[in-house]
Amino acid sequence: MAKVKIATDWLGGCAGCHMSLLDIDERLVKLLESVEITSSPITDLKHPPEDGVTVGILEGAINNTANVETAKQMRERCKILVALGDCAVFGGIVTMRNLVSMREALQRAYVETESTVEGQVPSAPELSRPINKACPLNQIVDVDVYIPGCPPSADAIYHALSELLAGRVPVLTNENLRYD
Amino acid sequence: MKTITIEPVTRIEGHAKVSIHLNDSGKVEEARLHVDEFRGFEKFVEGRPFFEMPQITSRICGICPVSHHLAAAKACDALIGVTPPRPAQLLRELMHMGQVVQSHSMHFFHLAGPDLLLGFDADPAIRNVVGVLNADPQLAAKAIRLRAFGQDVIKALSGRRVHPNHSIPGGVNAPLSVESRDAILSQIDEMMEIVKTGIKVAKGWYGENMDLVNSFAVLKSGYMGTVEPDGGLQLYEGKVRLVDQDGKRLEEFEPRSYLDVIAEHVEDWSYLKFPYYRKKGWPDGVYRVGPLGRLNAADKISTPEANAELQQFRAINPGKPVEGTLWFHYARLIEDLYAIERMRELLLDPDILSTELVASSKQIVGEGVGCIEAPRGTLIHHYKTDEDGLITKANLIVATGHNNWAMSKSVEVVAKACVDGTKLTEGMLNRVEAAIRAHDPCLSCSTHAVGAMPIVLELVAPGGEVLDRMVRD
Amino acid sequence: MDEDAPTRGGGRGAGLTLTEEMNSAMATVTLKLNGQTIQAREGCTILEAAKEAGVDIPTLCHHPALAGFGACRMCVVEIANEKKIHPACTYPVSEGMEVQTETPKLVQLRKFVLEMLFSERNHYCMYCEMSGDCELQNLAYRYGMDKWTYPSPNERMPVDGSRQYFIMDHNRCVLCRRCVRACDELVGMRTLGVKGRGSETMIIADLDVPFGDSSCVSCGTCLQVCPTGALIDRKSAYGGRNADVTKTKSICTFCSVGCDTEVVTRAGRVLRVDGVWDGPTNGVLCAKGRFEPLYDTRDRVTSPMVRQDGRLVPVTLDEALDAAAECIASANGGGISALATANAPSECLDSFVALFRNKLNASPAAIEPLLNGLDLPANGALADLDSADCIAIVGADPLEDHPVVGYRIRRARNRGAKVVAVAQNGASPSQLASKGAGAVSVENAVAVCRSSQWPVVVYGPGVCEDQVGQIKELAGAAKFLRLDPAANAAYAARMGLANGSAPTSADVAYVMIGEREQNGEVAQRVANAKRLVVHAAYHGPLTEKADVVLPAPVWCERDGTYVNLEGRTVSARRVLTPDEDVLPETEVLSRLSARL
Repeated sequence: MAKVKIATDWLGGCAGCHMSLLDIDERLVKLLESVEITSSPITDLKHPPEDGVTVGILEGAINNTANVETAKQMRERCKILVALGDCAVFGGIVTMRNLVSMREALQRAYVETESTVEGQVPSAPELSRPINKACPLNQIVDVDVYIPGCPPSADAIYHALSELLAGRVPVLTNENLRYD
Repeated sequence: MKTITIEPVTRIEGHAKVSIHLNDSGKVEEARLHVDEFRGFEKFVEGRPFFEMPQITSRICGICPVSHHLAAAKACDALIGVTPPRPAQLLRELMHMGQVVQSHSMHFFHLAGPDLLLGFDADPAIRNVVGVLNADPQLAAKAIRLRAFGQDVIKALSGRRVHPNHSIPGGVNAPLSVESRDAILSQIDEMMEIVKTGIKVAKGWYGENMDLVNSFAVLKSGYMGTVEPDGGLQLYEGKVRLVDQDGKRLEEFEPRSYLDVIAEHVEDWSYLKFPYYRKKGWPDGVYRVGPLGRLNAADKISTPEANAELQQFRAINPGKPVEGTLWFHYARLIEDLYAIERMRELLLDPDILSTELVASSKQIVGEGVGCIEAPRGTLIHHYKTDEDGLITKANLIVATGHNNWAMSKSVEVVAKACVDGTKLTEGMLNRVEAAIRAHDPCLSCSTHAVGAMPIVLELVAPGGEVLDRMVRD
Repeated sequence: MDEDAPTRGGGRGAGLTLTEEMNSAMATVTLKLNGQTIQAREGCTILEAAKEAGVDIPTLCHHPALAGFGACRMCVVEIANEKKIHPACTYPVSEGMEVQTETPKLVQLRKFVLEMLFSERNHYCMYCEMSGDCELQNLAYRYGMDKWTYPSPNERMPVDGSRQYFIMDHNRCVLCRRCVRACDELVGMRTLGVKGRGSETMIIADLDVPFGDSSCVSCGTCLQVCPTGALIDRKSAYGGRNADVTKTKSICTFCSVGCDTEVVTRAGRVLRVDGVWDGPTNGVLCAKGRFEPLYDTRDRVTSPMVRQDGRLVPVTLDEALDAAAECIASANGGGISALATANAPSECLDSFVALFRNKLNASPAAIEPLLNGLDLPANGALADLDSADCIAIVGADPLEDHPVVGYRIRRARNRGAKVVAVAQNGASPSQLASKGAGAVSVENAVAVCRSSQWPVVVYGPGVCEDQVGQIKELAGAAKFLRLDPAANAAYAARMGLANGSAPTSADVAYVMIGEREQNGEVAQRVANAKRLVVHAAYHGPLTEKADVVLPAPVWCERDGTYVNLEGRTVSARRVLTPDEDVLPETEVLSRLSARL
């Protein structure tokens, strides 16, 4: 039987959800019997393949213009889009910056901090721009499955993936459903 | 002036983009590592009660949340003017060792490993941890075990692997159970063997690639790391030592005086700042941190097996610091060995099961600095609060940040060696990334932000016309 | 109906349990709950009836110690033949009613309410101290909420850190008003209130001043009653979740009220002290018992000590006891001054008296002035304050010394009781008193009490002799609450401990002072003694002068019974094990006695 193709990526986040995914430890070996990981931050393929994948997993909130593009491309190229972790599901800690002005935040980091000498706010064209308000994934694209947690436990992630592989919509309950 | 862009860099934590600038004769003039994203931790924590910082700042990074958790707790200790009781310090250090093991192991086997185990020029489609799993399942199984071991130490103390809740201002909130101590101790020998297997693999690769290693991004810089009073490697607590490119000591300072020693430079083209040695100014004052920086700064390692490896490390460039960027991998494995040996020492300490865990205080001093050697380098948290204990200012100098110059420089040096005229090769692409990868950058940490993009390598003429293009999907 | 007369009983806060109330009222109704026929007391709410029947209706703003409020709409139920849904917490049962508590429509509505609550303010569960024990979060988990539909407006809400012991984070507030209601119904101080409407609604203190500058008394009742992480205790933050900690029922031993407590500990450390909702004090504590014990930074006496060559040196307990015995034996003719704090538990006082009076023929005295010498009754209870229509305060400052009594008086005043305070020399008019009655004459106070139906006299150490005669005339008509300046004064009085206020001329002094402050007064009293044995938990001016220092446990380190101001025997529990050199006082006294 052909392996189910999966792609993952991280947006505005901390990589903790991907670490929690790796925390399935040896179950990764079993998973790889039925799953092919195509593009992922931990492989050398960055784009989901053009002919698409079955499951796309995104960690992190939408924080800048680059994240918007990545989210849209993943949505286009996958059948089932999974929002992994509090940042992707709710916006998470990344949205804390919505409570302060971006201008002030940039000033603090690049000009005012006690150790910075002759600072300036970076603005070169190679850099992407922060969007007005950081937001959860479902504000930009349609999301099919939500796995909240900061990070969600390895068990919750493994359960969700197993359910998807069995053709069922994952339902998170008890210890698997958490917001922290 | 033409620009080559590599976007994004893979198998690192975080988002990075490389631009290589050619002069009119097609030679590399300058290379820049653009770290592209910003979350604003230093600003949005203002107004939060200080005791939330160990929990908030751990979300800066999901690979090394423990580093931030502990640095924040130490800054909070200073904020309330206490020293945690010895058992609490031992437990914090134990958690830290767990983290060092998991992070260094993951980097070697999952992130950098595929280059070493499968080759720089291997097919990108398999040049990853899954490829390693297929090529050598036994080694991969060991890698998984080792990482899980480190994570489980963190879990034994705090109940979870990522973003722990254990350190609080003045100490820690829970003791280590006898069962956990015994369980961890029983695995120490096995884990030591796994790291030694890694060292053997690394040495094998070094042996076969010595010419590359001796010419690949060999840089001159200062080196920084924390040391014990007798100059031994210290990852948890101590004075921070800075040595120059010949290994001569420049400074040995208490973290709370970091502002006298370290300053940060900003470039327009990266969200990651460039720390440097104040007295030498920018860019003369650049230095490297992390495993290479620490082993070059320290005099020795207090644990026997790691120290024995250190002697071999020293033999690479006798009497001088080790300068080649690819030696980071060896240094990282030596630290992995130290961390496990140190774990054993901690677990056998009679105080490790003690329940004397928190030092109390009524006062709010109003300012505190917490410093720790994160897996990737020296990490500094500096907070100021008002008299109610709400944060007024936060300054974070994050490990990978100190290596920012080095990463950009190594990209430039490697590019200069590989890029010629309008020829682009896939191997060049990967070697440039390998230069960055050796530093094990944690870019979420360093910009307190993350992002990722696909790799597109383009050769762009000044007029914007694309002359050549390589896409890695 | 006389509008000024307070209602007797005072609602839930009067201290009757639901069962007691149910038993006292006979009428019941029959109704159907989720198809099941049940009986319920007439007049109770659907929520109460459901609870008795074992049906769990979700709530958020509701709290067992507070009156039903109906703010959050989580407990909505469907009632047959009614168009609207109703909150179960306020809707009374009636005969033949048919109620459904968990239909799909109700579940949908509750999820909607939760969505609104999460999107209204800024809920960052991942680093919130309360995460794992948060009632809002638990409701979301209960209803399987794995996403939020509505984006948050991300408006920054203030964090008020001006109070010493706990912090208010408005970002996490769900405006359930439990804090406001607790401050009113349970404590009576009415510091907390609400300003604004709709999305601008905010919890405020007084006329919207920082909490630390307000009339807040730091009793911490709001802190305990808050369902989310909006109110955070500084000391116990991140100390552990309910699943990680141990909770032990005990009592507070810092004044003679003896409030019920639940002490929360983990790994040999006290994290915090909670009140007990269904006890006589309705969960209310004061800063003395809830917070201050956790902020004590005095030096503990961790080892027995003996003075050698002018300095105190640590020795074994046997050596210290030998030295103490020797001190005591050296008192020939000059007598022994034996002083014990009336804050010690009854068992300690028993041992103390057994040794110093029965065995050594000394006259053991209490360090604190006991009020049993006053010829006034002590027959009142806190519940009498709830039903009083008139309260006279004489020679006492309840808000200062017995705050929980002070709060009870405020509650009574809120309910319409007249509170008069007799003027005291040098003291400002009592805050607790009704308007204009903050500093009246004792004649006035007595007259007001006489003309009331259920008067209560509250008196303390400031009562003058000439006032006693007048107040005494109310005996029989009024209840009397005696506010002794020590937790176990009633027992100390029973044991005949004299009031030892005069400086002793004895050769030898033995002072068992526990964890009480070693102030100048006590030091003065034993200044003339040639040999001094101090039996204490902390170092201080007394131990500095001592010849022998014997360590004593603190409040959480020993079992002990107390007789409170109502005459009830209450028990404090040991929740922590002290250092191995710190034995219970009874044990030390017993070993000392064996040597004499």
